[in-house]
Amino acid sequence: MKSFHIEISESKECPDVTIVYLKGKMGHGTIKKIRETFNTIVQGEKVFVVADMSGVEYLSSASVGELMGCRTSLLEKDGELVLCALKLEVLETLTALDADKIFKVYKDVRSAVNLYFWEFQNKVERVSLTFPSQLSFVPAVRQLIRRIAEQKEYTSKDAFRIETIVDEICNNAVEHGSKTDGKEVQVSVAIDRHKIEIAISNTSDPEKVEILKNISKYLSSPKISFHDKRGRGLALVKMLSNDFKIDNSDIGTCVHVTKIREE
Amino acid sequence: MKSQIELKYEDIKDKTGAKIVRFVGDLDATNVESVVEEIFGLLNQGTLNIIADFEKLRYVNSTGLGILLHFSKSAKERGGCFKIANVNENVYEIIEIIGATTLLDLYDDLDEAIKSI
Repeated sequence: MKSFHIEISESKECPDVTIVYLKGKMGHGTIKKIRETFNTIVQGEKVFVVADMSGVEYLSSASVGELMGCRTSLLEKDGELVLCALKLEVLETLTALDADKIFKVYKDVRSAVNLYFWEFQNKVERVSLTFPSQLSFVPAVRQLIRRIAEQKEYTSKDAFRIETIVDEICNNAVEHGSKTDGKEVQVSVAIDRHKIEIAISNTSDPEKVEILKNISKYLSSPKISFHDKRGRGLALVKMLSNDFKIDNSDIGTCVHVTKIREE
Repeated sequence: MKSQIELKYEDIKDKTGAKIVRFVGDLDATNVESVVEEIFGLLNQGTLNIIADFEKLRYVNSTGLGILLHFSKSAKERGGCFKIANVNENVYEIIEIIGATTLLDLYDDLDEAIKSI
């Protein structure tokens, strides 16, 4: 039987993250060693732990239970234990025990460390883009923002709502904005683990100033009727958002939306 | 760069003047016109009872919902119907917020929609 090896180090990318490298077969005989290692970590300051499982060839159900216990101890100290680089057969064991619903599993150490920045350092990521004021660009823009939300572990339902919000505001920005050649729509997104903030702005079309003055009429209710020629896009956005604001000026309109992440 | 949408047609056994139309893709402001052309093409050719299968319709926005209401109204005015089956959870939420659940004929599945015509 191959020996079991466990080693603690700190992440090169982020020294605040502890890396636990595990190698060999994690059977019943390894539980004591795992417990001792994690007890040492729990007593320290660096309680965000990435278990690098790339060297693990076998994982017993008892070992999975022990890792769960270690994770609980880390959570009690506001830390976390995530797993990465699992071999297929090891991942299958985890899945069979439904433990994949408890542990966050990543492809590699770097992806797991990124989670630390995201979840624990409240890192905000920003995306800004500008596109010509034409409807044909809107699908690509809305799908990009949805994919960013999905990548940041927003639920698929939340990501769909975000896609709808971006789509409806961009459509309005194109429809009611200036059609002069060279005019553009600007999209800014700031996303963190708690919320996404979206700002979409255009250049005003002088002929549509009256619509903007009466914008509150379009926000009162998203309800549609058989007689409506147009949808109720902005009112729909308001319903899907946690915060919604429109800034009008002589030169343009900017719609600000905040959507809180669904846990 | 329109969104991709494809409409696939299927006759309904023992139901003349009726068709299933399967919507595949996204329905939005960039492709509503082509969908309007296709559905009105069917209505104008005498297919007055249409069952829209939304199983593979991933996305719809307020503009798309507007034309669905238009189809429903137009089919009814001609003595037919425009019924919708298999709406996914995300699309259903948008239909609900827009207040169109009472205006559109929605069914959980195709069999239920077919039985109703």
